[in-house]
Amino acid sequence: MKKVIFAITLCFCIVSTAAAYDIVVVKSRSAGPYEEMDRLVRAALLQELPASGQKSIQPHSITSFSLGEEDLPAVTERIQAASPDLIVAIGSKALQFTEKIEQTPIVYLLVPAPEKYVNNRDNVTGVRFGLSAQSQFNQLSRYIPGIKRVGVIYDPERTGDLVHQALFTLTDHELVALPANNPRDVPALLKQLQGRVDALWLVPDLTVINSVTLESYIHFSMENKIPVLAFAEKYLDKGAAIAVTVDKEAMAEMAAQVVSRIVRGADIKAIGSVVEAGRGKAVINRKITAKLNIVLTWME
Amino acid sequence: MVSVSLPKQIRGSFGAKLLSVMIFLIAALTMLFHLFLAQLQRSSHNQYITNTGIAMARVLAESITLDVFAENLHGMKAPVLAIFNQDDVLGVAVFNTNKELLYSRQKEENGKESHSWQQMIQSIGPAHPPQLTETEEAFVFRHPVFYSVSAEREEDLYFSNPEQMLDAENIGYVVLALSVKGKQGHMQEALSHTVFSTIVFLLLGVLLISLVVRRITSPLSSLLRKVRASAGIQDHEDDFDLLSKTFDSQFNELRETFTVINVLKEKLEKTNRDLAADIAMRQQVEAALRKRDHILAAVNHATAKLLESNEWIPFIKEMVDELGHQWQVGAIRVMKHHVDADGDVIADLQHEWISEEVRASIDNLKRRNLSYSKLGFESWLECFQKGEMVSGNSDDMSPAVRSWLDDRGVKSIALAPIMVEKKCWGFMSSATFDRRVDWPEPELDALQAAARIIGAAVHREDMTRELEGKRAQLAHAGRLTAMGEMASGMAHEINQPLTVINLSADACASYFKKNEPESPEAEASEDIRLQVKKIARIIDNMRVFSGRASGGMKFLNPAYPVQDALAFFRVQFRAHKIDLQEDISEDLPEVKTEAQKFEQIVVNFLSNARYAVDKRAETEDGLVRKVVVRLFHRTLSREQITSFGGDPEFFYSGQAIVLEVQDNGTGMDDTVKSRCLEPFFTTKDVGEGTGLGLSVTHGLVRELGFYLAMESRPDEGSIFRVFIPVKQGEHHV
Repeated sequence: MKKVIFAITLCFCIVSTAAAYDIVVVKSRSAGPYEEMDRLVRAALLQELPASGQKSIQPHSITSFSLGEEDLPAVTERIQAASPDLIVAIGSKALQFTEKIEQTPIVYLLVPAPEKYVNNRDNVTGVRFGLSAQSQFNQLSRYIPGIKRVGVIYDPERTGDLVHQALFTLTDHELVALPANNPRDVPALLKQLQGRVDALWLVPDLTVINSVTLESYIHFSMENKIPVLAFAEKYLDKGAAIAVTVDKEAMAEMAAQVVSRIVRGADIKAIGSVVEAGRGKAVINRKITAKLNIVLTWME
Repeated sequence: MVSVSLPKQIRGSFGAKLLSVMIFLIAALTMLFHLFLAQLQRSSHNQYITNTGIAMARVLAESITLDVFAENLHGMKAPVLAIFNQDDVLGVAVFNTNKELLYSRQKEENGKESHSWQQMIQSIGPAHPPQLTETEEAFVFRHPVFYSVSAEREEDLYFSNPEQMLDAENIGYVVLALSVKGKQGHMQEALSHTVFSTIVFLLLGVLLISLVVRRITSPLSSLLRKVRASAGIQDHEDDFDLLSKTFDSQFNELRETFTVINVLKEKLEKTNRDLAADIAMRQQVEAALRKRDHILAAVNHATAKLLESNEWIPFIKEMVDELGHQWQVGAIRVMKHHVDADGDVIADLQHEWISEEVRASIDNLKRRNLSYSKLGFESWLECFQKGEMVSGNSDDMSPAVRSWLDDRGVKSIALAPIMVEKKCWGFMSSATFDRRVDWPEPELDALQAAARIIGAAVHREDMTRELEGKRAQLAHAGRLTAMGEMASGMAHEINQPLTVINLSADACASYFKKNEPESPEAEASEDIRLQVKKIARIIDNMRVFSGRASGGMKFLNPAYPVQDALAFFRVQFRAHKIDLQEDISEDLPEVKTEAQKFEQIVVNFLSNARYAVDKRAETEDGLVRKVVVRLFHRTLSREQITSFGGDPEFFYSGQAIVLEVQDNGTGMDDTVKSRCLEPFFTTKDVGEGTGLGLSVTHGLVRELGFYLAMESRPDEGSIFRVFIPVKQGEHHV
């Protein structure tokens, strides 16, 4: 009887070794956010990947590459030599790097505008970087109530979809959206918003956000005593009052779940080209809100 | 201490001059120092203005970035005015990247704006770094206005990434003009400080020097005052005068010291020059000695070969060639003297060595023989005959010699006579064609040594040739001796039948004298008897000449041996057409002698006389050959006896019998005369004489106790005299 049990266990182990996955993580750079996301994804993958097999005998293989440090052709050769089961692309550059890979499933992260890289590819899916306009304004209203009209300056070429979606989805807020094709238009457009809005909404748009325009936004905020709703925490130091961002751990966990589903055989089309991270968080610069004489009800 | 009379006291004083120089130096150094400080302050002020201007421009550029970005003129007004209101700011201007003036403010001077911003910004290059331009009125600073691009991709908008390099975009310029009046005022202030400080330091310096001088001279002046006071001298010499004298005395001592040093230095330099010249001369001597060693080695080598061979011509050629290579001269020649038909001494070329360079450079070497008298080289010949060398450069020679040498391209020449038996056989010369030479003594010694070797070689060949002649004469003498032996034997053998013939002839003569006195047989028998006697006398003479019939010393009349000797030669002389004159005195005292030897003396004299007259007749046609034989008695004085080396003690009362044989033949010169008595010396050709005739004759004369004297002149003839002393006890017959 013992021999039978040993033989069954041995066969199970042999089979289980085939269930260990080779996953490659490709990062745009080796900078802090990418490294942090790499670490979070690894941790989440270890939690989310199928529990079948003996990890102590044959763990999953997760190999990371940083495009900012290594020779791209060499990275390509190594990835092809590794023949991974799945590739996790962190950052726009990493996703762009994998655009010629058609057979291997790809899960992306930290890609603000993934649409131009996906292009109807069947093997690509990922987690949205950022929250929807509705989620952001919900968080805004949660902490700073009373805001009705929100001004936004955007480049239709870059963030037109986001703003248009917001125009259609926002119900509790009136969005005053002014298009800009040149950063030099921003100060003038801000003058147009003067007295017409209760808050400014920053969108991740390279046209309308740079060091000078950001200063314009902050000056406008100070002069008109209205808060600036930012999409990343770094703008709090510049003078934004509140930043509503996606929780990185939630993004990593969602990505690990997507990976797990794919390696277990789920169809990427069924998953979709983008999935929501689901959980966001709001960070408030209380010094700014104090200077703007804003009463934070929720905090109270 | 600085009294009113100070200028007069210090005028002309070395110490005062020194003091003036020191004051001047202090003033100059002070001024230079303050000018240096002023320059430092100017540089510092320039740096300060530069830093201030750049800082103000930078602050303005940073503060109006947004307004420049948006070209918001109203927004940039306040920051511009804030800068413009500074004291030294003459104007502020803001340009966009198209160099279009956005905003400017200027302070007016005399109702006009002092700067054209548009021209100014266009004159400045497009470079981004801040720039400074200095004009006559202002420092103009330009600073670019940037705004930074904070993100490359949308995701960069989410993260603060300090490692990311942000691009900066130039959106305009800020131009700031600062007045130079502040700088000029500052410089004037610095200059004023310099002048003031110079004056102050000058006064302090003079004061300090005065104090130092007083400090130095106070013990001396105190001592001097005390000495003067003790001496009762009241006049006062102030410190400057004292110091001046001290300086003057020390200066004079220093000057004398320098003079001594200069003299010593000149002596040292002269010694060095002499030493260098001595070293150079020594090196030249050493080089000459080395060359002489080489030459002497060549000479020694040649000498060794000479000793191994009797031929001197090949040896001379080899030696001259070796000398030429070792000596490194242009040419070496060996010349031999001879006398031409005119009696001139001519030097014939025997051998020469000419270097390749000379052979290539000089086409015509003109190796003709040299006639001393015709070329005017008598002085050379005189030197050679005295065994003296001749050397020098062509410039130092007589005009004739110099012309001759220049014609042959000779620059310098050295000649050594080749002496053979104290006579000049020729000379050996060494010549240079490319340089003048001060012939060193060692090289001249070497040349002379080579010439001596050549002389020895020539002499050795002469001696060898002479020795061969002597050997031939000796062999001839041997043959004559053998002939004498044979003649003696023949005479002995002939004598016996001749005695029988004589006896028979006597018997026949007696018979025919008695029986047929008038018959031809009587006459024939008488002729036979006379001819037999004649044959007997000839045989006797042969026996006597060969020595077999020597009868020893005995008293006899010397006329008899003379007559016997003449009997041999009368027929010969007639055959040779020689006039033989006989003056034989029969009235002579008998002397003790050997007749054969005395007869041989006469024979030898006559034989030589015959040869001499025949020899002269060969060259003189029509010569009457004459030989005179005299024998007479004479009483001689003591001086006459000693004149031919005789001892007066052997001549009783000075009496002597004199034999004279005189001829008019070739005669002898002094050399031949001095050597004619030597054994084997002859002037005859080989085979004609043995060289023993006169030598044997002299030996016989001395053996018999006679004395020989001769007189001879070339081409005049000779007289041989034999003095036979008549001794006491020898009686007159």
